[in-house]
Amino acid sequence: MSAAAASGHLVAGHEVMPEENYLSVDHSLKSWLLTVDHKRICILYLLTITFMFFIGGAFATMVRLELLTPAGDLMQSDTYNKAFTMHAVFMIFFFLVPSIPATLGNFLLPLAIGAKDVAFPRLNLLSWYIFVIGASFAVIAMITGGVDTGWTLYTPFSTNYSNTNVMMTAVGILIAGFSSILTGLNFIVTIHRMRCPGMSWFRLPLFVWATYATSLIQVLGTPVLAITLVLVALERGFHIGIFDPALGGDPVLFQHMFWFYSHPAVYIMILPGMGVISEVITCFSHKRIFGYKAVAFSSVAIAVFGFLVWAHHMFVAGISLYAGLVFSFISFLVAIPSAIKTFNWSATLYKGSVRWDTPMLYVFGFLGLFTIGGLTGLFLAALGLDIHLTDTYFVVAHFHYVMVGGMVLAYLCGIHYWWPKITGKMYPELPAKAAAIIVFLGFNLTFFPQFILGYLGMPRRYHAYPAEWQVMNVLSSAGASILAIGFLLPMVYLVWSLKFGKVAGPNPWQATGLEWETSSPPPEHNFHETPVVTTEPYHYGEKEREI
Amino acid sequence: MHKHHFDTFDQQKDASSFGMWVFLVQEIMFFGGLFVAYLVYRHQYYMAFGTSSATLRVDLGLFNTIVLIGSSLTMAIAVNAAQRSLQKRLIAFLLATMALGATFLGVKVIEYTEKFEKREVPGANFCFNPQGAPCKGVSHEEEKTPDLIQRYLNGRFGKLPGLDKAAEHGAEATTHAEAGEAAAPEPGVPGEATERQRSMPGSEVYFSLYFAMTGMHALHMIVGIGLMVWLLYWATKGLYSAEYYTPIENFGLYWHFVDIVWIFLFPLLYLINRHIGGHH
Repeated sequence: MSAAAASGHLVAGHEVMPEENYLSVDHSLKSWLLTVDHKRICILYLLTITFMFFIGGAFATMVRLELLTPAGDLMQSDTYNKAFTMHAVFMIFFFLVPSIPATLGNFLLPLAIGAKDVAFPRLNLLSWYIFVIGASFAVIAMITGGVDTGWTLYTPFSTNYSNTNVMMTAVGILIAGFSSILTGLNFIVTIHRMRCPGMSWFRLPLFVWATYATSLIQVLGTPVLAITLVLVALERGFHIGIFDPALGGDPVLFQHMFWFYSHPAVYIMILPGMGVISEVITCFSHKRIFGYKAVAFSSVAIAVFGFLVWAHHMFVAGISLYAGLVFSFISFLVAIPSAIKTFNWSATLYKGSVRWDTPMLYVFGFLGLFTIGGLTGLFLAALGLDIHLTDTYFVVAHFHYVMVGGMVLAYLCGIHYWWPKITGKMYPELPAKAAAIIVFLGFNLTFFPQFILGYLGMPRRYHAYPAEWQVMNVLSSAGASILAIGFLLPMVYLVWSLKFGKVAGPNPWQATGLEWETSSPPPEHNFHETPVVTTEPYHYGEKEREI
Repeated sequence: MHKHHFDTFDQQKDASSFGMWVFLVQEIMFFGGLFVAYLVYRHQYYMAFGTSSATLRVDLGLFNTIVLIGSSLTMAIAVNAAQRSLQKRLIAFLLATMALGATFLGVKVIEYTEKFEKREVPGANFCFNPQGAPCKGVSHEEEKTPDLIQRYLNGRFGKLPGLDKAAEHGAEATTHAEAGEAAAPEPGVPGEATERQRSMPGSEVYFSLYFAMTGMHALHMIVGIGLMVWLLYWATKGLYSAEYYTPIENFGLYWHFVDIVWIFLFPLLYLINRHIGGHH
C-alpha cells in the first residue's frame, strides 16, 4: 500500500481521477446494455432497484395518507388492499432482496477477493435482464389494476377468489426469483473458485462471508418459492386442487411452502446489511474486528437457523401445539448469532479511534434499530404473546425495524462508504450527515408508535380504525413524511457529487481490503496485477506500525 | 483458450462444473416442494392415492423408465466421446439421446390424452368415482396398450375409446359425441352435487400432483432437448474435444438429474398400492 493511498483522506482534494477506469472504457448505451463487467452490472441494478424503491415508496405514501384519519375516506378498502400489497411486493421482491447483494455485492465481491470478475459474467448480465423482465411483469400488473392479496399470496384467496392481477404478479415474482437464484449461484462459485493467491477462507472480508450466507439462502430457498408460485398459478389458471380445501387440498400447506422460502428470505434481507456494518465499523473504529470467526460463522448460523423457523409465521394457522413449541424454541435460537454480531460490533468500538463520518452514523442507527427490531422478534417468537400480537401493527413495526432500520440503513451506509470507490467522487459530508440523522429520526417517529398501536390491538391491513388511535397514526404518518425527505436527499446530493464532488482517490477512508488498493473508480479488470494477500483482514493497527 | 477473468483453463473448467452442481442443488429444492406436497397428501389420502394410482398404465410407465435410463446411457457415451474427441460418435449419441427423450415425451402425450378422455384431469370436468356411478362419456372398456399406441399412430386423436359401442345403447350419447361434448360436465342442478363433487375424496389432489410433477419433469425434458439442439450445433462445428468438453459434461449432469427425478416419480405415482383398488 502506497503512502499516498494511506493518507488519501487528507489529500483527497488533490487526487486526480484515473483516466482508465471501468466507466470511461466506452460511453455508448450498447456498451452498458451488453456489459459483462460486474461493476457496470452493479450500476444497472442500482438504477433499477432505486426505481422500484420509489414505486414501493409511493404506495407507502398512499397507506400512510389513508391512515391519517380513522375513517376510510381517502380510498375504498379494495384500493387500500392493493396499496399495501403493492408496497410490499415492490419493496420485498424488487428492492430489498436484490438491494445489497445485486448492487454492492456485485461491485465488491470480485474486488474484495482479488478477482477480475465473478465466475460467470454473462450469467450475471442475464440475471439482470431476468430481473428486469420480472419487474416489468410486476409493473404491468400494477398499471393494469394491481393485486390485493397481500404479498403473502395466501390461498385460497389468491387462487379462487381475488379478481385482481394475481397471476401476472406471481409470474413477475417467479421470474425475479430466478434472477436471485442465478446471482446466488454465481456468488457461491465465485467465492469458492475465484479467490486470489493468499486469500484463504479466514482472510475473507466479513462482507464476503455475509454474501456467502445470503447466497446459500437464495439458492436453497428461492426454488421452493418458485414451485409454490407455479402451483398457485396452476391452481388459478387450470383449477388443479393442491391448496384448495374444496377439492381436498390444504391451504396451510401453501403457508408452509411459502414461509419455507419467505422466512429465510427475511435473512436475505438482513445478512448482507450485517456484512456492510462489519466492514464499516472496523474502518471507522480503525481497529481490528472483535471476534472475526464468531462474526463470520454467525452469518452462516443465521442462514442455517433461518431454514428451521418458518412456522413461527403460522402459530395461529392451526398447526399443532407441539410443532408450535419446537418452532418457537428454534426461533429463539436465532437471537444467539444475531446477538453475537451485535456484541462483537460493540466490542469493536471499545478503545477504537471512532470517527463520525456519514457511514458511521448509519452504523450507529443500524445498531440501535436492529437491536429493537431483533428483540421485538423475541416477543413474536413466544407462543402465548404471539397470539395477542399476530397480524397487529406490532408485527408491522417489528419487521420494519429490521428491514428498514436494519437493511435500508445498512444499504445507505454501504452506498456512502463505497460511493468514492464506485464513482471516484466524494459525496458532500454535511448534507449526507443531515440525511442520516433525518432518516433516523423520521424512521423512529414512523414506526415506534406502531409498536404501541399493535400492542393496543390495532390490526394490520385495515383502512379504518377507532378514533382513539388517531394520535399515534398521525405521528406515524408525520414520521413517514420526514423519512421520505431523508430518502430523497441522498438522491439529490449523490447525483450532484457525480459532477461536483471532490475526487476521492484510491482510499479516502484509509481502509483495509483489496478493493481499496486499486484506483477509484477501478480499472476495467479491477487490478493491474493479480493481488497477493499476505495479511489477516482488518489489520488496522498493523498498518501504522508498518509505515 | 480460457476467458479473460480466469487465471487458468483448469480454474474455468472447475468453476463451470461446480456451478452446475450448485444449480442441481437448486433443482432438488424446486422438485423438493412437490415431493413434500406428495408426502403430505399421500399420508392424508392413503386409499385415494392407491386407487387413483391404479388408473395409470404401469406398462407405459415402465417402458418410459427404460427409455429414460437408456437415454442416460447414450448421454454418458456422448460425454465419453467428447472427452476422447470422437466427433461422429458424440453427434450420433447426442441424436440418440434426443430421440429417446422425444420418445418419452411421445408416450407421455398418449398417457395425458387418455387421462383427458377418462376425465381424470383436475378441473371442472373432473370425475373419478370407482365405486359409484360411472362418469358420463367415459368408456369402461379397457383398451390394451398396443391398441392404444396404434390408435395414436393412426392419427385418431379426438375419438373416445368405446364410443361407438356407447352410441349403440342410446341416442343421448350419440348426440353428445356429435356435438363434441361427450365429456362435458353436466350443468349443475342447484342442490345437487356435481360429478366432480361426488368424486372420491382426495383423488383430485392425486391427479393434481400427478400432472404437476410429471408436467414439471416433462418441462425439464423439453428444455433439455432444446439445449441438445444447441450442443449439437456446436458439436457439428467441432467445438468440443478432449481439450474442451465442459458444456457436454455439464449438460450430461443435468440430463442424469432429470432421469433421477423420474426414477422417484415412477414408483411414487405408478407403483403405490398396486394390490388395492385395481382397475376401476
